[in-house]
Amino acid sequence: MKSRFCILLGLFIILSSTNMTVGNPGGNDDGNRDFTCGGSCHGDPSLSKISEGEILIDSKKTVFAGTAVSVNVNITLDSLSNTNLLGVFLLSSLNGNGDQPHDHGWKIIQDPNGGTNNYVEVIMPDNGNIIVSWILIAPEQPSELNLYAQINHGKSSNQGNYAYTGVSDAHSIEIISAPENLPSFAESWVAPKYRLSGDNSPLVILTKNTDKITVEWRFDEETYSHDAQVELIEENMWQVYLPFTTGDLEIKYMVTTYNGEFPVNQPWLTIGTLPPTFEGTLLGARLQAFAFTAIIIGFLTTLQSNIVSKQNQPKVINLRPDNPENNISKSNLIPSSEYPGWLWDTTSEQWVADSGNYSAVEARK
Amino acid sequence: MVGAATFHAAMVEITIGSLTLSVICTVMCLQYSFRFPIEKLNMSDNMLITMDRAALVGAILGSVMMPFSIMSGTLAVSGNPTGTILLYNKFVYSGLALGFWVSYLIARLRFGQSIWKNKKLNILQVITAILAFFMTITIASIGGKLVRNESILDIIPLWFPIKSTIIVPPLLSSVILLIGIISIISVTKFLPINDKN
Repeated sequence: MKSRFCILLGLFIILSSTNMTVGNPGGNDDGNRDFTCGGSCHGDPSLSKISEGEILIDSKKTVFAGTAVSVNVNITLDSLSNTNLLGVFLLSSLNGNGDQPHDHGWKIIQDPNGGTNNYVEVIMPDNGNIIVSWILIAPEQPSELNLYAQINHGKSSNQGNYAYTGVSDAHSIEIISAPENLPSFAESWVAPKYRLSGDNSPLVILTKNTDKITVEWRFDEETYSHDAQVELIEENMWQVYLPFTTGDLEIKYMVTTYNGEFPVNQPWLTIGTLPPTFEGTLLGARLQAFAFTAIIIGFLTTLQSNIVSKQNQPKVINLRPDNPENNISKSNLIPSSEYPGWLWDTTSEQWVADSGNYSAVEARK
Repeated sequence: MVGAATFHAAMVEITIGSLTLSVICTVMCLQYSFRFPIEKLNMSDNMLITMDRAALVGAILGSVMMPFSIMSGTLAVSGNPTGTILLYNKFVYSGLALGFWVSYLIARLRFGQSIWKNKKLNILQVITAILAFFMTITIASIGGKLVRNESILDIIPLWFPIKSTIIVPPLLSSVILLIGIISIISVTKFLPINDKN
């Protein structure tokens, strides 16, 4: 009775120790999402708390319509969850729907993780400060638009298991009419996120109103930039030769577009490295799995049999008649033609090994 | 309609549950050969017989369900079922786990309950079950990584590698498979065991 009570108590303690969790503690992957994920745990007043994080947005205050602009979000935050995972949104309103930058005419050509999403998940460095950058193409219509940044995160000492959320102040950007024939990226162009490891094929860049481009590049941590080789494929289509990368190296590159002698520096862009494509096949995987199964069964059954056969091995007695130590009565041993090398001991009623080949010696007599 | 992923979840739960029961009971069966110095902690003979039977039934059910788990898992994957290292490792570890569990069952069925009274075989059987179980939860952990990008094993500092793999060429796999089959046949044919109780 006592032991049953102990087991039940143990089960109760184990079950009680699993907390009710809110939000998505492991993250929810990058994606395109509205303010507070459309009423998620981070937006529910009963499940969330205001983040203590400081969020600042920085970009050019005035941008030509249809040109690229870099929007930098500077976040300072001391206490996060144990994983230091931080979700960051770039929003164009805080209505709860229609909040994504593209709803107000912006186009994301690169997010901080290399994709084209307005929500990204990043790992906060231990110093509690991170700057994440979105590269946007400004809307075509002149106007004054606001951008906001929102952060979602957890907290390590979080008694109520609250989902924390914080929103920046509105960051206003004035979109003005672009001068005629302003050289820029084409609206249809999206900066590639990755190249395959070891791939040195050129990067294709689409522009508008451009008769020349120059490209500077540098590795992520490098201070100095290098000039890249550029070739014109056709009008407003260029191929740029960047060095191949391996591992998790990233290259940052900046394109300067020209129309005549008029240069426009575009924002710095990033291209990462993808590991080589995996070449496993279903047939190969199945064969390999069966091969491993068979070899393990073969090995273990051999080992089992080996253990048993060693322990079952009868004691070998030297039954040579000339062996002075032989004290077994020979008359009790009967050779068998059916089992050569073995003798039947009538006294102990068991087979004994004939190591000295007793029967052969007896037969010669 | 119920999707393959739902069936896969059900199959995996049965498999993991059965094999967990089996490995716990198998570890308990160590007491057949190695008694605790404190008599109070030792199980009765009846309890040990129950442990042995539960371990056997758990291993049989788990091993029977494992191929169904693998098949439903293959169907549940959208795209190439071996398109990533994690998915490929699911196959590799499934093969290893199945190998260990089948070896465990072969030993138990060949030698009967007396296997536990033989100290060396007892230890070998327990090690086999533990390795088999580790392989099995590694497969489950890969599933967690694929679906939620995290698993309980993330908090364990040392574990079998799941983010890297070895691709054995199909021809070499065929040769290994053949060697395995030949060794199984050789053992069962030429090293018969008459020790079964």
